[in-house]
Amino acid sequence: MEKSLIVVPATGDWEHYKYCLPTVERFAARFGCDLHIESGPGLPWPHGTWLKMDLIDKVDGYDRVVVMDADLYLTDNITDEDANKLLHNTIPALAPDMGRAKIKPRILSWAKRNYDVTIEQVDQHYYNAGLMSWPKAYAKQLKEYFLRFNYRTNEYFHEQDFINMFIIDQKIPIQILDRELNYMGLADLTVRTDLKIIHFVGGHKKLIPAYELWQSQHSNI
Amino acid sequence: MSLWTAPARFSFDYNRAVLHSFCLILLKKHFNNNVIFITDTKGKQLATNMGWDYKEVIPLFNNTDLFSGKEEIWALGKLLSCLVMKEPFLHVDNDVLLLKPLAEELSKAPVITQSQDYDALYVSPIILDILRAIDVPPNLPKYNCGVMGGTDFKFWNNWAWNALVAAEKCSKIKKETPNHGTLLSMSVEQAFLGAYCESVGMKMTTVLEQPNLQEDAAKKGYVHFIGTKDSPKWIGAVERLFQATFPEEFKDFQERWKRV
Repeated sequence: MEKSLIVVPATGDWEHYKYCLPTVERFAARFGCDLHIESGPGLPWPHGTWLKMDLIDKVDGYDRVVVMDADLYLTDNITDEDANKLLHNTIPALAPDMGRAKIKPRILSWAKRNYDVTIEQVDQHYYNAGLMSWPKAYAKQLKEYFLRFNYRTNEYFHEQDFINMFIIDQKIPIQILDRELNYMGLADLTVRTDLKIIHFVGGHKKLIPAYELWQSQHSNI
Repeated sequence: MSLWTAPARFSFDYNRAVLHSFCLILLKKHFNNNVIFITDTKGKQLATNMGWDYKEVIPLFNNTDLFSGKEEIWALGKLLSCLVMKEPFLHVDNDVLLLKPLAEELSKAPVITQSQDYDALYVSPIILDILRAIDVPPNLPKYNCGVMGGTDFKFWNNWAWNALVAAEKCSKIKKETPNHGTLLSMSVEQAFLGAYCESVGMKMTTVLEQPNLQEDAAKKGYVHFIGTKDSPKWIGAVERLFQATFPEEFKDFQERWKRV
């Protein structure tokens, strides 16, 4: 029987954890996954998102590792079919980003300098790294690619561009998740009652208590 | 009605007490006692001390996570109150006196507010910066929300949510004046409402044809004490009317106030 591990980088002490992490716990319990919430100090990178590169190591003993950002809010609308896309996939599963369309040019320069790779972005999707399901072999491949990383402390950027660069450079096949499984459009949260996983990116994490309040009042309407 | 006591702007003195008490008694009369109070622990205690006999007191604002980092924006209490409404409603500010019931056509309107607000209140460079930050064009109507509500409660849920998103955006704007919280509140409540109506194609119904115009207000029995709460003349008039129309309740109010 397949086994999946959900990993959540959740270092520091942020208010939104108490709203979001229980929704991940419920998901893990409902679909029989193990769950690891990393709350200690991460890698010594300037930004905590790089902790994901550490956490994918925990895939040993599992068929896949599912990386979830700590600002994901998983709703009860997730179906078995949705869960299968994350927990029974044979290729990595990610959703397109709803903000950025491309890797930033300076990251491409960095890729050339550190990896001697030239990335040409032609009509590829740009994926959000907030929810990713990596079957074991692909998780290992990503980590190996990362270990070649010649990191310098003046190069401050998030891991998402790196992961997109990896996907393009290594020609990784991707199962594209529906937007409703990693939804970043905040304006219509009270209108779109079909959303499954809401991603409260950036400063919008402070809106999670209000969203949960609205949900609790309107769940029966 | 709602009352969030955390903002620095909050104060509770005799004038505000008499207005709130009279406002409530009038609403209970017009709406068959079906008046709820959304507040926090301090507001709930005030309700007990003042004998405000609401159908229900809901301490929603006790969850301070709802306001984290935005305590200056005193309109947030009203936004959250609209967010949680699950049926047709009318939110009434505690400095508004509905001396007469609303006309029937107003009671049946999908979306209703007091009136358009004065454009002159939205021309300073500071407030224009705020409007820009929340993508509100400055040339659209702004609505004074002394009363707000209607049969389309989902409109208000959606507006409130989007107004909260806007409040989050402008909470990071640097404070440049002592009335920063007021400018933010006017922007995310009154100005944003006009822009939101425009964006969703909603036609607003107003109680008054012009902002607080005295003749219109007197005819419709609607008074909003903006800027007059500290006026002895106006508060004196409120006391006299309160005593004349509800003598027992006024007596009870005075006795309770002595004890508070």
